[in-house]
Amino acid sequence: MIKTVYMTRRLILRTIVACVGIIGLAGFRPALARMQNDNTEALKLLATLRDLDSAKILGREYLQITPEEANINLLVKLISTSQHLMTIDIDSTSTIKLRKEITQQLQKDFELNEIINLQGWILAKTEVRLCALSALLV
Amino acid sequence: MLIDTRKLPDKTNIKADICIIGAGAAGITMARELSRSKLDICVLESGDMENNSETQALYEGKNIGVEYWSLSASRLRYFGGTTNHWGGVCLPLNEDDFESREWVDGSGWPFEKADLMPFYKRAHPVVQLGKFSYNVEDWESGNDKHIPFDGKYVVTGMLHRSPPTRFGDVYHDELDKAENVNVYLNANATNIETNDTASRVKRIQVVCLTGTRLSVHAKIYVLALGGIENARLLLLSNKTQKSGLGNQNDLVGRYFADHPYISNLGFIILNNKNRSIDLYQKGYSVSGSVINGYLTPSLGIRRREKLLSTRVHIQPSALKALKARLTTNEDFLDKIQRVFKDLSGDGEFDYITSDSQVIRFGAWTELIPNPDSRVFLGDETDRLDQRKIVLDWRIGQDEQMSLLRTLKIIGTELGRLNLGRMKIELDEDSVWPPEKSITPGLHHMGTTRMHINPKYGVVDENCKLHGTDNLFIAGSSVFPTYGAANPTLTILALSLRLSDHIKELMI
Repeated sequence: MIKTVYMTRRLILRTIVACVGIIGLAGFRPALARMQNDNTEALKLLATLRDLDSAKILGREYLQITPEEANINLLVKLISTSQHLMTIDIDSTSTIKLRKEITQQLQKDFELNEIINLQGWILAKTEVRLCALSALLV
Repeated sequence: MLIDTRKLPDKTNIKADICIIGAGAAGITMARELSRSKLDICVLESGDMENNSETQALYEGKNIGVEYWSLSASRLRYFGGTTNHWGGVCLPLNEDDFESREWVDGSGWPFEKADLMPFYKRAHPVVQLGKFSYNVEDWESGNDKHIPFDGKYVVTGMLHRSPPTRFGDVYHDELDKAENVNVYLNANATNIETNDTASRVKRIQVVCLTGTRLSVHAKIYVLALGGIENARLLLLSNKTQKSGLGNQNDLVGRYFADHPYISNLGFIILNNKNRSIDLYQKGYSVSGSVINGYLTPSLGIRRREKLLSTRVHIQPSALKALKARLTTNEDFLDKIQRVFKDLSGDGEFDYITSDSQVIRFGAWTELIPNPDSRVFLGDETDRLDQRKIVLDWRIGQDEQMSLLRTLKIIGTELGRLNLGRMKIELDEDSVWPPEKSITPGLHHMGTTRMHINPKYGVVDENCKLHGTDNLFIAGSSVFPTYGAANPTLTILALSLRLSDHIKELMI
């Protein structure tokens, strides 16, 4: 029974993420707000990722070595206040534009040495935090 | 003229202006250069025109250090020397390889790279190479471009590939026809005989495997026996100086180094952007030259970060290697690649513009000169009753740290420039040296190192043995530091330089 509820929630979230990715968030904001309360920004960020299954695996790995960040609000805060993204209004930015901004943020992370070693991979903190969001939300 | 020494009468005395001992890359290059003068040149070669097991066995020795190839297989003892099986890779040392670097004990050549550049250029045609350019942009063609690092931290270095030139085959006729050059085949130099103070060489004693003995008297002698045998013959020549000729400061045989190639160091996921990486693949050919790109930290970063020279190369058959390693762990690579595709494109989920490829890489790295890494005479003797060599090759921990830092710099730059992601399969806790992943380059260097001060070097800045006026050494045994470049082009450049020097002395 518990598993069924979980699957339903995951399905809903996946659908929302997909809709956000394809159409953009603007028209759905009221509905999203009702359904996900404070997670709107998180879902908007998640929409930049297409392969959520892969992202989840990376995210889980990151949270294993950084369990203190296993918190959606904290992750959203860390991502949205990173040096480049803090200049962006995530809510009002299209997914395509947001993806470009995230790419720039990842480059900034590397420049500022905001990097992490994940199984030997040198990755930007912002990208693994995005992945961690997917692990927590999807 | 080529002469079979075995057919000469016993106790023959050979006279020449210059006696070059060894007919490999260095010896043949010097013989060719000096043949253009009026000097009489004698070249002594232990082997014949083809390899034979009896002569080759004279190279046997024992290894007690880092795992190494058999000493009798890692070099070749016949006309043309080890060029008979070399791979043909040619590139100059880096500018900083010549510098005295505070983080590299014993570093510093007595001259700068700029001083050697004219000789590097002259060396190119010797190994049948074309245009002397190591600027990768000169070799880009069509879609084959270098990976666009901005040059601040990482650059694409370049090497040329010789056909490879088999010196014995290519220069046989020229030396055979040269009127002032006699090449004595099957002639093993067994002793360098000096005057009582060892200030001058009087003669070289030569023995054939058939038992024929003879002597060579010359005004100037050049050892060109290779990175191990140069030291061995000095150590064996111990009648006057008991620890070996030129070994009064216990330096002969020490500082042995090779270039380790460390394979399977990790993966790079590279953002294609419709870009070919053929320029980095072995066998890439453009404008009649075969070249190869590699990744390396920029000169400024090497100095700032106190790094050793390193060349990071794409490993051949990367996809095959990858497929062979598609374990659960490597499945993680696939996930990274998918996320990278999502976030490295142009904003769209467009697999054409944001497609990526996976590259496996390995690296050649410089070693720090180490006096405990050495060759010395063992107790066993060869067929000519000469003591065999013992090799104790060592690789230090600082090299691991430098390599790791180099890879991290490249990995970080891939991310900063949105070019890709890197996985490094080496860390501070890795077993070092990783013997299973190491392939020695068979570049024997350092055993008669060059330094202006005899306390720190066996030969001076002109490759003359300290304390002996008429004995010079050619080859990679004189390298005081080793860089990460295959040594042949530098051996040739030094040989050409030494030839010029000897010509000046003899005028």
